[in-house]
Amino acid sequence: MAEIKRFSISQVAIHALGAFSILTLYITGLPITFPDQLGWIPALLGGYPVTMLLHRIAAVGFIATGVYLLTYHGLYDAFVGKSFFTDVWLKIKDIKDAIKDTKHLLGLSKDKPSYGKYSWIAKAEFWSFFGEAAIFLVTGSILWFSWQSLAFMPPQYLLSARYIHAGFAMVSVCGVAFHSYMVHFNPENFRIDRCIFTGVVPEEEVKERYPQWHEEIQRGGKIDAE
Amino acid sequence: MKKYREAVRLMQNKIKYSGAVVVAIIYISFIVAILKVQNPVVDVFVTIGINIALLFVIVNLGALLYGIITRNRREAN
Repeated sequence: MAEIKRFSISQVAIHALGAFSILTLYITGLPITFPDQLGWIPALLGGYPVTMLLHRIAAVGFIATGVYLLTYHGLYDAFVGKSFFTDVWLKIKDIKDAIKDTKHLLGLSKDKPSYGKYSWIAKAEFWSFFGEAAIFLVTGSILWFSWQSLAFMPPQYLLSARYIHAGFAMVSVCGVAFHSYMVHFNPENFRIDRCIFTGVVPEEEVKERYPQWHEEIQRGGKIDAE
Repeated sequence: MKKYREAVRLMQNKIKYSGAVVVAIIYISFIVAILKVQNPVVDVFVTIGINIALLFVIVNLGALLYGIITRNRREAN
């Protein structure tokens, strides 16, 4: 069966780093927000100081992922040509697709949207990652360097930063739960969608799930955007 | 192989809704935790929900590592 390249090696690697970092951040961060319910995690890891250390190491990995995506793909887009950013940039079609998809899921329409390489859901997930990363970076830095932060902000700002950090962490867990549902529990992918690891997708699958991308490939378009 | 695929297909149908229920429990328990509802029954629900969320995250970490480790298995075959 013919296969089509969907992700480059660098994309596979950066997904692995980002996912590993963010999952470690949840494991080490949620017990700090919910010590009554998840106190067993720090106990298992060797106490809160160890948990906090692991949380900060994972935070560095998460920041590195965001910085890499912005600089590498930003520079590639600016100086070389079509990059991953060009593929995931939000377009009017995505809003139309979202409306069409919602109607289809609610049983109001039989038409399913015809997707390109990335669906509106994939694009929304990607950009929400950036939004969350920015919030975590700001609030996390305030909390990490709390003594230095107090030099130029009142103490109540630190408390606000803590609540915002924890609140968005919960929103982020919900986002990851949704992402996991799509790549693990969704009957089309159950048990695991392996294309983010292998980088390739069977052509039949591309034809069925990403018809517009398949048409583009048939017309001889570039398929392996960096 | 055919038997295996059939088993997976049956499992897919079963997991479709149970997966959605698990995700819904996680969402609801977070919302209730934020609202700080003072009730012993709700407390138990929140504790279960948040622990499921964390186990969900741990399972995902396992799936990620499995995917990375077995990345080249297909090529090796």
